[in-house]
Amino acid sequence: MRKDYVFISESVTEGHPDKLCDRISDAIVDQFLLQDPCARMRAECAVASAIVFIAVRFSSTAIVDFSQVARKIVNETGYDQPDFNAKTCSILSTPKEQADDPSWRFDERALSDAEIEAITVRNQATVFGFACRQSPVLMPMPIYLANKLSRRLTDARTEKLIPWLAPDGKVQVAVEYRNREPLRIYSATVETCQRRDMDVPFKRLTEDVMEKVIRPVLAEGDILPDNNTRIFINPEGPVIDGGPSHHSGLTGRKNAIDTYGEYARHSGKALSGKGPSRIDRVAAYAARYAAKNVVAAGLADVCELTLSYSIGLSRPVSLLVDTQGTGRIPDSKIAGLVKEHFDFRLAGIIRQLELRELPARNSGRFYQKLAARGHLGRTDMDLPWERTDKAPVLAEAAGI
Amino acid sequence: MVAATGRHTEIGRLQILLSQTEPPPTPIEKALDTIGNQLVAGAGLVCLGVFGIGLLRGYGLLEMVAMSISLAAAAVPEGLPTTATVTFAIGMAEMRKHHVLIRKLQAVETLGSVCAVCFDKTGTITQNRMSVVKIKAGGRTVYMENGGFVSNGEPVSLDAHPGLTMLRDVCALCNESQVVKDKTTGKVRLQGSATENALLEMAMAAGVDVDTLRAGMPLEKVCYRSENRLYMTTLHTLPGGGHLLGVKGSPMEVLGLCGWQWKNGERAPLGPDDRLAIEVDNARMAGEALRVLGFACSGGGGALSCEEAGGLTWLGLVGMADPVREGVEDVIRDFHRAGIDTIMITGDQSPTAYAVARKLNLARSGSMRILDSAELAGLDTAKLTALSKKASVYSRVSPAHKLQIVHALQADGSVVAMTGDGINDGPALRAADIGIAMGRTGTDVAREVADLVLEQDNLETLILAVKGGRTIYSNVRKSVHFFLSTNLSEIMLLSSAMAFGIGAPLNAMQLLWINLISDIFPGLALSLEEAEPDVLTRPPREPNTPLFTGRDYKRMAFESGVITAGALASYGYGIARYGAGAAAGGLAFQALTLGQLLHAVSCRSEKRIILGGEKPPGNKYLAWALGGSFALQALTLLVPGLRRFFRLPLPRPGDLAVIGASVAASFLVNECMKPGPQKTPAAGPE
Repeated sequence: MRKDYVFISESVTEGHPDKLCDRISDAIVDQFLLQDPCARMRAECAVASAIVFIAVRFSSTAIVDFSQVARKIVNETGYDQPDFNAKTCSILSTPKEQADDPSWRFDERALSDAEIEAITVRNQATVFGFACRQSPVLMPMPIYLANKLSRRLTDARTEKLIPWLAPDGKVQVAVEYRNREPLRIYSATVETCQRRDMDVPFKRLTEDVMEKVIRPVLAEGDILPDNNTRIFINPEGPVIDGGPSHHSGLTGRKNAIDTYGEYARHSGKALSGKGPSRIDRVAAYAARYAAKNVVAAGLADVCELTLSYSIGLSRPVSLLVDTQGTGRIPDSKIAGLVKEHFDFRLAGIIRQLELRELPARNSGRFYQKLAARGHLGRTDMDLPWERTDKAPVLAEAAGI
Repeated sequence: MVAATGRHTEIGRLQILLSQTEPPPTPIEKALDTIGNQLVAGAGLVCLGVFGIGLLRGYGLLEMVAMSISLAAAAVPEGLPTTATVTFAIGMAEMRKHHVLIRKLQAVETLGSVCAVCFDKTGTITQNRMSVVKIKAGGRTVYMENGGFVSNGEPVSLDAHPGLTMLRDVCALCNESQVVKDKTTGKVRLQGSATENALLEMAMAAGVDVDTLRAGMPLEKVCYRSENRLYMTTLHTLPGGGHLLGVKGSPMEVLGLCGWQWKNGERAPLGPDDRLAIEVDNARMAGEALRVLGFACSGGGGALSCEEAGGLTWLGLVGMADPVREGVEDVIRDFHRAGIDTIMITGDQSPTAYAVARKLNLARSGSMRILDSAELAGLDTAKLTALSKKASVYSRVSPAHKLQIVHALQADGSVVAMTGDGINDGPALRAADIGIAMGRTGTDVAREVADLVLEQDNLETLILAVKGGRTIYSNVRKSVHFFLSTNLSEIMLLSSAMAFGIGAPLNAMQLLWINLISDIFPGLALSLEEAEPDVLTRPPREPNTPLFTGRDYKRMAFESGVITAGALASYGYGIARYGAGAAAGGLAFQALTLGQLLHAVSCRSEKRIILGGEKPPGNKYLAWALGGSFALQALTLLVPGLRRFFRLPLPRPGDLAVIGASVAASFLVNECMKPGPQKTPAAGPE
């Protein structure tokens, strides 16, 4: 395996149409769970030229006004263009209500072990969890930096540091590795849109982005840009407005940004728009939880955990650990420890990570905040799967 | 103070829009016109031809002139123009009995090809009898039942809380309805829109004397609800000086203006959790199919201009129920079976629309799609057309957009019917292929412009109208089919006999008799057929199909040929038996006439009537007409004077047998050549 290479990860702002759709889908999830924690739902959203399409399959006692939710999100994302704004966009929604399933109405906190064992998964999935020592939050460096950069880009707009930014934006960070360790920032690219109603010379925009967005973010990391680092800002020239009136968006198309920036493997399945009843979402969080604790406990420097689920079974069919040779104890032993200390059954994951209660605890806004800037490795939210509370237990059990 | 005059007033603008919107053309009489003209031209040619052949064959000039003229008389289908008009007129009278008033004749035909019906929710699907049922204010839920208020199962008064009291007062103040006292009976009546009447009733039930309240806080200014500002504000002078601003409108919009609320009897700031809770309450109430309005008032130190309001105090949500009319669910199911899409248009929020639509099973294909758009005008037509193909519910749409929806649906050739009752609906009713106005609750403008008025506001009569329309159209077809094929058979008989050189089977008097006496009544009776049993389970007719297709004409020619063959066979037998002359001609005359009369029975349906087919419902007019014609025909044989007039010899039993056989044979052949018994595809869900 190569030891010296350049790796690139990208990230987009919350105004990018794909991410906008992710946020709308997750806002619908929030609304359902807020009113009815046992709700099951699958929300998908597409946006193209000022028309928003929402399709929701649900089984719940809650009543959610999908159009209202979508308009709120469009408004909060800062879209007030004449072509696309919360007030005038048209929304075609297709609600599909399904029969209530009494077997799903359980309180996961009160279940016995046997009852948890009896709850089988209803979707098939192979998910991956990953952790490494490249960044303080145990995430790969490229996606960590890219997410920070896109976050700063959004903040620059909302805090009016750069008032002529439009909500749509894309960033890309390339990190050079030596001996599989991040060495330096090879390049950074920011592609952003500017508002139509503010006439700003392109040079001014690039200067602002450089000074107020790129420099501050890259300067505070473990690896710093140097004279050879190449910075690109809108290399193809200015982009006016951007957003759904220019390019369309769809839920679930930015999977890599949601997870590991393609540095580690990730499931092809979308995370946004799915409720806690879907194993393909919750297991991704559970896998990250386990992998992060393995690395935090010092059992390895890199840990990739693979979980595979089959419909009709409650436990994963396969659980694999790959430490890429950095493990202090054999991979199989790590796998055994992980199996022992983490619950990967559907109801167990919901209980462990308190997934149903999170929207209510956060004023009805939890999953929609995840939908932008990554579901993993966040420091601005208290994510249950980012806690390293199991690290000491693991370390002790491994005898380190 | 004059704000605008003439064409700049709203009424003026509407009038201009009305005069600019083109009512779509419908063609059935045009089609009949064309057919008639073509027949006259064709018949003229044939007559000239027959004249020429006859002369060549050596017949006398005078004789041939008489023959040709009679053939011309026979060939032209006199019944044609009358048929359509008579059928429509009688059909319209029938529908009048069911309280469907058809204002334009062409509408009858268009009804048969309607693909989509757009309903207004308020007033058409619902009874427009609003009443307040639920109030959410100050953290409490109050239900209104039987004129009283209940909270948590206990009766409660709206005076209990300052928040509730304010809400109750603003409901009465920010309200245009008037309380009218009948001087003679002393009974109190409310005059105004259904929504505002409901709010006033609620305030009155809570003990408010509306007139006193309004006198105490006189109205200074009103800013009405518009498409861009979904709330209404009223400014009142307070008795001790100062002003009160009352706001009522779309809950989320009104909430956006507020910074305060009433909580536990005190005024408190509105936090994000409170806003979220109000949003959830709104969605829940809307999901119970209630029309929800939000209320707010000033007094929190905010601005006090009517136009811009901010920093207001949130008072609460009021939910009103408007019951669905009885039988609407069944009507919608009948429409779906007839292959017609049902579309609901409403200004309500999406959850309300969804709740009602789901109860009624509004989507024909089973999957409900809701288009929520406050700005239909901004969408370009191509996109709106594409979206409109999918949507079965339009929510948050203002009545002004109905016209666009109609255009969008029509853009790909669909025939659209639109219901309406308000003044704003005029242009949409005009543009729709069928404009339907409500008779009782509709406005004069709507009734003037519409093609159809449902006198009792009863949607079930609309199904009857569609049934009537489809039946009338197919009856016109049957009648014209009969006239055309019988006339064609006369032409064929004469010209073929001439061409074969076997003499003229019919003389002039006989031709005129057939055409003027025996054919007219059965033909007209066919236009009075009852509706076929499957008329409401067939898909709608394609809008631009001609009255008859090329295949239909071929079939008519075949049928005429068969009848002609039967007559020729009798003629041939007559010649063989009696030689060429009046006797043989007499046989041809009887065979042709009786064959045509029996053909009327065959024309009753495009499917088989005997031999495995289904009998259509009885038509007593046809029975009488046929009976009469048969009787008249018998008279020509039995009454000596008539026999001489038509130059008919007394027929022998053998002759009668031959005539009978040829007539029966032609009828059987024509029946057999119709498509056999097969299941017609029902217009169910795709």
